[in-house]
Amino acid sequence: MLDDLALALWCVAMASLIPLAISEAIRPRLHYDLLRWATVFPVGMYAACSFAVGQVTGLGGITDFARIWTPIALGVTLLALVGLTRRILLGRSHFVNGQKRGRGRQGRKIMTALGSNAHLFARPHRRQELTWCFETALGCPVATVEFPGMAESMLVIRFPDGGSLSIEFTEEAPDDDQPRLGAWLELRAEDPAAAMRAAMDAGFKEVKHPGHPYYFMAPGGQVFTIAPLH
Amino acid sequence: MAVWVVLVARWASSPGRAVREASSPPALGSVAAAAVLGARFSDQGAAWPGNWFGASAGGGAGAAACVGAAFLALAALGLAVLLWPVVSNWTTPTAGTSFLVSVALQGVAALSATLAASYRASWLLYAAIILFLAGLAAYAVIVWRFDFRSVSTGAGDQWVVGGALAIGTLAAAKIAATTAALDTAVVSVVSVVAMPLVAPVKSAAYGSACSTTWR
Repeated sequence: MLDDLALALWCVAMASLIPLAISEAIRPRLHYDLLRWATVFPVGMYAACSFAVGQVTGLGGITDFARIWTPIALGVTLLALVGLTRRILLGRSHFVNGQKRGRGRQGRKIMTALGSNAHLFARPHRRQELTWCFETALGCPVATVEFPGMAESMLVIRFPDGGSLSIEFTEEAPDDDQPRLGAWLELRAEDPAAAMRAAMDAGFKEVKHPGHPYYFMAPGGQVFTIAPLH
Repeated sequence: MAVWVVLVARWASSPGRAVREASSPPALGSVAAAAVLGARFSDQGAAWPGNWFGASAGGGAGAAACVGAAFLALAALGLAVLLWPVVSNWTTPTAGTSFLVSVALQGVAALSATLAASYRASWLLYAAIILFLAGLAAYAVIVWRFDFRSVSTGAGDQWVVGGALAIGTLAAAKIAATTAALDTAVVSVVSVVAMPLVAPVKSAAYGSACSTTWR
């Protein structure tokens, strides 16, 4: 009877393996994270418990599964080890470069590019407006992303020709009715004039600034400029 | 087994962090690690690699069980010290790491059941059964408040949702094996004790499977 219980639990555990594995396939998270070690343990435990249940129930199929699963668990462990090793080595080499720079060695390229991903902060009440602004008025796909440790979900806008914008919502975010003199961001469009017209039609405030005519303010005060794609 | 060496190395390499986070569920990972390492040492005669000290070869069994008993003492001490701080600092919704409470209980249950066979000590088997049931109950409570969206967004710890079930399964299998091995009065007593408990546990277990796969 107790081995029935073990077998029932084994079935439940195997059932839990399916959604976990499928969600890893659907949404691969290949960057190294310390929490990956919390993946290594369960993956190994599926093999360990299968050996034990196979032995106690005498069902060879379960032991066979354990034998097949063991190299998979080992592979996952090795992947995590590779990630950890890379993290340690990369972290150390950055440190060494920083030290050399600190001692006044000039001309070393430490930063080599400005990334195309921007992270903005906005007040929670701007969520609807901002979603509408990008999704409906400007035709950019907006995703809502839960992030561990963030009370509110983020909006993430990925642009088809590169770059992404993430917007985090917090009451501490700046919020202005006037164009904010913070960092302005550059959007790109095949036809900046047409994109600017779309922004104006949607009711965004035009921002006058020397340079070129295409500046507008999003709800909350963030200023965007529209530059030609090429 | 390499998994555990690595895990223990990780915990051992960051003692400062361990102290700081002693009141969060990951602290109980150290208990689970000690328990599973102990189970590996004392798992004599198992049909899979890992018989350190040639435990299954005969004379070495006592030494291996002794090491296992030391790990059991360590894990039980860790559980006693850490469980209350963790439970009193509980936060909801629960995350993958919250399940380490259940993992720690089941890890100690599995080791206790294994050693009960080595030492032919029925009280260790009873302790294992109590810890196993406590682990299942903890799982049910934690899964009740679990944010299932983290299955698709988690950074790795969402796997503990399944890992806790797997180590619970291991504990159940060890308890079953030991109950079969100690074929004295223990068997009948355990059967009588477990009989009314198994049925609801079984149905609860199937219920949580449905909610896990459903997402």
